[in-house]
Amino acid sequence: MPNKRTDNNDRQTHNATLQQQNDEAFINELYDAVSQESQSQPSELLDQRIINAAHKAVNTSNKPKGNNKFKWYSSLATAASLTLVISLVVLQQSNILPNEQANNMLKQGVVLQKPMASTSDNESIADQEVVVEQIDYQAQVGYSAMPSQVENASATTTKMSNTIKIAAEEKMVRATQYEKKAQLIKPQTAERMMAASPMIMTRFNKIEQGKAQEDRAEIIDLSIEQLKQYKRSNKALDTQNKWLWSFSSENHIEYIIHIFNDNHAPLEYRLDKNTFKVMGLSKRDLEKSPLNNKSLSKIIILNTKD
Amino acid sequence: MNQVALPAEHSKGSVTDEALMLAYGKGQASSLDLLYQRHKQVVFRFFVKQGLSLAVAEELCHDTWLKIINAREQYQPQALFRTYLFTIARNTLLDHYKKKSTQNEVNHTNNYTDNNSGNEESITDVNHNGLSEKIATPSIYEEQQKEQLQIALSLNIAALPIAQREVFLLKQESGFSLEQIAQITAQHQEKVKSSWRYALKRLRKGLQHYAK
Repeated sequence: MPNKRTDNNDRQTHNATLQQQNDEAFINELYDAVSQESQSQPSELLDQRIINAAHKAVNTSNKPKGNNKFKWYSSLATAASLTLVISLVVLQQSNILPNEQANNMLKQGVVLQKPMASTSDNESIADQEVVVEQIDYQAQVGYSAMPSQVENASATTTKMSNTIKIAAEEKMVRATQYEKKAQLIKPQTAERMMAASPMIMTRFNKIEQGKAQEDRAEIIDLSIEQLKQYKRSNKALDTQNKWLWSFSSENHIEYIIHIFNDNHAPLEYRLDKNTFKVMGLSKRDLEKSPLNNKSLSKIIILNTKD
Repeated sequence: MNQVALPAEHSKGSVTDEALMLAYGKGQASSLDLLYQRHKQVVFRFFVKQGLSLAVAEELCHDTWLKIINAREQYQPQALFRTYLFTIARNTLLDHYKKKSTQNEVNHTNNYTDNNSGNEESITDVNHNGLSEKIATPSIYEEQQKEQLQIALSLNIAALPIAQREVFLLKQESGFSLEQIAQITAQHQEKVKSSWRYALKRLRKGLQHYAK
């Protein structure tokens, strides 16, 4: 029995081998029948791509290492240059913008404004002369109605006008000196101001406006009634105990003065230029003056309706 | 420069593939030109016979040779260069199948594989009927028959399962022995034998009408 099985297995194996050989022969016959010429080939473009890639790869790897070193140095140099340029730009920008510089510019702006203030001084002098003329005119008009009172008034106004004219002349001299100084300073400051960008100027203006608003918030407006009250109260006091006042500053809309009461604690007041006129501004006015009727004649009430 | 001098037989074309590859690895670019000329067609046919389009076959061919180029310095002649080349070609093909989500080839294969005799018969019938319907002079008829045979052969090879197809192509088209194919495909030799046998059987069945 085992021999029979072995024979069968051998026969099967033999048959399978024969079958395979037949199959191989069949396929080979078919392959022979098919023309080899018609078999497809890769395109010339593909050949060229592969050959080029092969040559390029070898040429790249065969390049001397000096090139790599050069690349390393060049990239480092580029990075260093970029860093330097960026840091310079940042430094330059930071030098324009800091607060110190802004404050300096602000100061320069103030310096630049002073010549303008001198111009306004000229205007104020002219205004003073107009006021004197108005007072003279009022005195002349009132002459026909009340001759005795008008005579007194005209005498007083004549004295006042003389005083004012002297002060105005001094003021003119000072303004001229100021203008000369300003002419010297103006080109430099103007160049600096022009160098600053409009944004910076806007920022300065905002800061200035903010400061002015803060200052205005702390200062009390002096009303006509209050001024009259001060006059009346001060009239009753002794010479030693009289309240004093001093001129602090002025701009195109207001004067700022300090009034010192009996405790000598200064009160800051704002005088609207539409309502008041402070006459004879000079260095003397920066000193304390008695707040009596006569001294307060330097502060003229222009518009009695307020 | 790391130029390597090839033996004097270089010009005669008797330098082995391995020597050429080593020379290319050491910087002699012209060595790869010769290698490419020797093997470009078999590699290309290997891809074309997989049932891929010419464009895809060229792309895979390009990838295969680029891999050879890029790995030139690591090449060690432990086996024949052809074995090395077709191992890379086969891996490139497998990568392509993995990447490919569109199922053109897979659908094509599924239609004619997995012991679906009905499908196989339909291929055969179509081929045979197409051939028999043509009436022409003997010489033209022979040309047409040859052409039809080639198409039928390509279709039937493409219809083989992947494992059988690659074994068949490596043996029949590229001339590798079963042992070498086992090495290329990293399979046991008996499995390669079995694949070869089944591939032949299947092809004979599909092309039996062309038997003389």
